[in-house]
Amino acid sequence: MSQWSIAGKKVLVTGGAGFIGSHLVDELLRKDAQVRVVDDLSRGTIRNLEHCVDRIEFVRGDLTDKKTAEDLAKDCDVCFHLAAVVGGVKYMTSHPAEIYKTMLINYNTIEACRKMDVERFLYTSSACTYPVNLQADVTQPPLREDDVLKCGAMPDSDYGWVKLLGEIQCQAYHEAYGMKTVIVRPFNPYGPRECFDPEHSHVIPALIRKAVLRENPFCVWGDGGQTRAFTYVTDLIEGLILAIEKAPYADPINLGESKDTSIRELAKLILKLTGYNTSIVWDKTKPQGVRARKSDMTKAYTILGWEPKVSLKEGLMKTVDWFIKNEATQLRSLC
Amino acid sequence: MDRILITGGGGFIGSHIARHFYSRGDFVRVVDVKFDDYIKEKYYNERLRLDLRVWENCLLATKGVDKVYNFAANMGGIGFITAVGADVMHDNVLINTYMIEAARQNKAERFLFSSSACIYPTFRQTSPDVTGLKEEDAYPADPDNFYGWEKLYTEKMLEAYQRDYGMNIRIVRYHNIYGPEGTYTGGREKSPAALCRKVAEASNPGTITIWGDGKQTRSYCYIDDCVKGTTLLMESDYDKPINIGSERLVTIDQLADIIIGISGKNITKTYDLSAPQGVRGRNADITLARKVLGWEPETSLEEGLAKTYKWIEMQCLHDNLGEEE
Repeated sequence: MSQWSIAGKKVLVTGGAGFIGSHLVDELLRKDAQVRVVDDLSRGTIRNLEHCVDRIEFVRGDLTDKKTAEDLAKDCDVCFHLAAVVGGVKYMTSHPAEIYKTMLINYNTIEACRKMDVERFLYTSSACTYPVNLQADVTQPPLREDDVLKCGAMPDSDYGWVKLLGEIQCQAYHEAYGMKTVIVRPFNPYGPRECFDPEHSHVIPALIRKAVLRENPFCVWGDGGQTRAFTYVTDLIEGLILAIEKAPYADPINLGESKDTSIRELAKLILKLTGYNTSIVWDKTKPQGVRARKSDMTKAYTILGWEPKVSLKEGLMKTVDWFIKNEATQLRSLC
Repeated sequence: MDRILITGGGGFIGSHIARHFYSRGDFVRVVDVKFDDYIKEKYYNERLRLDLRVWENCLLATKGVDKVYNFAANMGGIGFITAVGADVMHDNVLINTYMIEAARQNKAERFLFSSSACIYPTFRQTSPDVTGLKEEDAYPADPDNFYGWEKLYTEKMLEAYQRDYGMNIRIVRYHNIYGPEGTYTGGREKSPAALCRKVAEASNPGTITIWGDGKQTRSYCYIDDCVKGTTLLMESDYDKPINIGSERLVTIDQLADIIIGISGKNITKTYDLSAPQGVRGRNADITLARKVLGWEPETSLEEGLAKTYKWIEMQCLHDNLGEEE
């Protein structure tokens, strides 16, 4: 029997106009899949799909509505479920209740896919599901998939709780209906088309924006000692596709670097790449999330044969280039 | 006079709470998809049959009320929640997500959520000889089943609503509430009601089947005590999760023996080891309820079961007569 492959499949991508979603759409098209995208354009933008809009079916729709979800799932073989209410650490800590609406989106989507007999369903969880105490200092070992529940769940944020319940939901559907669900946990993805606006941005776009726009003083949140495992978006996309082809058992898989980088190193690298010669001001009053986070890659490597290919420097350069070409002018005019 | 909404007002705890307020002279609206009608007298001012998995219905239900008691849930005994875990979780997420948002939009003054002992971690409930679960034991989280995960998740969501919108939230974690005028047959009943029914239906002398080996333990709280604890909580200023339950731990075997004793029948017990039995042991610690509410259960298990058995025995009698007619 030949291996199940995404080629030729009819694929629904929720949140497909967003950062990760639009890169996924590009790769799916390269793999000859038929692509249907749904996005409410609350954060995603049609600009991300401009180059391929004539080759996909795009629907502007709100997945908190059950009927919308069912109409979209109809006739699809596969669903990559990426839609969620998300944002950087600032947004997460100031809008906890808003984030819980993601659950409605999750439930409507998975239920619609079950009803419409969608063959495989991939859920993008998050590294934010891991317990706080395993991320308390930089000497702790990389996070293994079973660490989430091994000693009980204790995510550090509402976002982490929401993501975790989505995983539990995938397991419930897998157990109850034998549905082929896939759970992946991306670790700090970054790259072109990520959100750069000050309200929602994650650390990399935030620092690139400040550096390119020559913000003075150049403020970075925290003391610089916190660490993360940054994953370039094309590496992540490769992982998503491998996961849906090879691991539809509701068993979570990390998609992230095992090597972590401190925010200090990151900030210095970004200053260097953008040619901004300035000193860094550490703002310790701002939220900084967990202290340290890196991924154990054993499972992704053994089950999927996946490992990241793009170095942090290379990935940052591409991201900076994209930002300068696409966003900087616009943001400068706003300032 | 308060204007009170009780969702799940057609079910066990909901209908008992509704009766309490209705008899006190408050305005009571009950909402449910199904009304058991075990309570024979009128216990509400307004009765709406609404599916609260639908957003518009939640808006309708919460219109013009001061206080919301949110008991609506897809739930049942251990057999039920094990068999249909995905459905239970799905339905309850919809109900709770919509209800809190609707209560906020309609400016309800207080919102009480019925959480459950099922949220407590499995690793604290592995032996029959367990110490009582304190509220803070909930974290790190490891609920035993999907039902518990959903309840825990809703607690987190309500905390966020409290922080974000300053809503007045009350969260009660019930530990095995039992009593008359509740589900006793059909697959959704809990262990005390199920055992009462089995004993009532058994011939004399006869046999009943117990799920598991009978050595798993629980603590049971009588419905009148539950109503009192719940209303005290709503009126209090305490806005974090709190246990309402009993601290008297019994094995399922002991529970069955008490019921058999009440029946006066000569009954032999057999054990179905393949049946679901949930966590191995579970007891409540109600130190906090004593401290902040001045509440503790007053009805002994024997007394409560006697009332429950009497009611279920009567129901079974009626059911049988119905069949013969």
